[in-house]
Amino acid sequence: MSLGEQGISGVTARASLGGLSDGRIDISSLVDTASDVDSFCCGWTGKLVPQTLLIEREGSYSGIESSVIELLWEASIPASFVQGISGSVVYGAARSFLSAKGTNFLACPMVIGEGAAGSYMFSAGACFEALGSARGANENASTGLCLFGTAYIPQRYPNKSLIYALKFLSFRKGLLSPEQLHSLELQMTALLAEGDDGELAAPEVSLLSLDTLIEFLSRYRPRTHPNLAIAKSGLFSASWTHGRRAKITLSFDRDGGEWVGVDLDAKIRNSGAFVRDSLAGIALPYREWITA
Amino acid sequence: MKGDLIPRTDHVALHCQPKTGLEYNGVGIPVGITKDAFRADDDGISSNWVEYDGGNFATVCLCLASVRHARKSHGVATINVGELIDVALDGGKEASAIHDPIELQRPNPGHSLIVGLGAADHEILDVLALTADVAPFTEDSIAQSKAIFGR
Repeated sequence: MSLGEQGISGVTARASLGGLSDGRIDISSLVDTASDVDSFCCGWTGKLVPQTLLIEREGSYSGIESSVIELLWEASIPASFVQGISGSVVYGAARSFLSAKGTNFLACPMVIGEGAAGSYMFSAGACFEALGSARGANENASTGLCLFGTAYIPQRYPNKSLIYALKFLSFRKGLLSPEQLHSLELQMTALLAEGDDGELAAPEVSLLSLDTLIEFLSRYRPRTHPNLAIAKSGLFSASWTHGRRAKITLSFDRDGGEWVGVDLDAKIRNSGAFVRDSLAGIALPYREWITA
Repeated sequence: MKGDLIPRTDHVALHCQPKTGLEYNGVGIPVGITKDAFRADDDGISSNWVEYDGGNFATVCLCLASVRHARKSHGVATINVGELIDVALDGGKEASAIHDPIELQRPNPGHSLIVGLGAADHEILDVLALTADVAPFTEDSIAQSKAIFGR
């Protein structure tokens, strides 16, 4: 099913990139029509600093109750959290080692409301804040804005968490081995496929936490893929067992997270914090259970 | 009988769901729980007595699935009562499991409560989670649940 068939071809985007170039792109010519992921994404490549990014919707969507727009930018560009216009999170971080991987972007899900026509401005200030120290770096400005995505159809995919998580995995797949990617896809589906209509209050799932988990797996390449869970806080946790009665669990947040180690036979429980770039904060022997 | 202590040799079972502390392995099968799987309220932590009325894992799955919608992605965590008591004691708490049959719209005669522990006892619950054996619901119980809840 193509986006044009879903009526999203009326959406256009225009970017002013550092005053050096403008582009106007019809999304319908850029979408991946083979994609079955229901989200609509835009972004750019190269070391660009958009001063404005204007997303316009010309007319109402037909048959679509709402849409999701994701802002993407190079993961190699230092960035910080900013608040998007819809209140959703715009996220980026300085991770130089990602740049070597080439194809990685960070995503910003933005839910735009009911399908009335409208324009949404991503201000220069917001872009600059998001891009942090990359401000003013206009080299390679010929690299254009790219847009891709599909329409979010609530009736078909009631659970946005799973859509976002799988989309995020696809952006970050360059960091992961095929085996890690496959396992994470299965685990995301198991964790999130049920939707948000369960009998128990379900937490808002943190893509930031997922991002940190992915980076952790990429950096340390544990010999055994961990078991995954989602905490009440919405953060992802990964655990490695050591025999049947000992376990180390890491809960991932923005710059690292917390760890808990339990050894039933030794009757010990320890906990603490760790940072994303080092395992040093995790006490021995628990640390070895991750990499062993 | 309501309030009876459940013997140390018996087990209690928890209905665990994906976004509330159920851990999945690399092929998407539920294999463990975290402390978030223990849902505590003022009365205690809700559970079901596995061996109630001669029961076993299959019967407790049917019982749990009759009172709350059970799906393939859900899990049942079983915990030995003696180990529960010992883990709590090691953490400085006196805990027990008591029979707490429910006779409301959806009767649950094997319902039990873990008492003496609350959500604030997260250090003990971290340890207790590791004692749990976790398995998916049986096919029969999922089919029964679907028939009851229609989803």
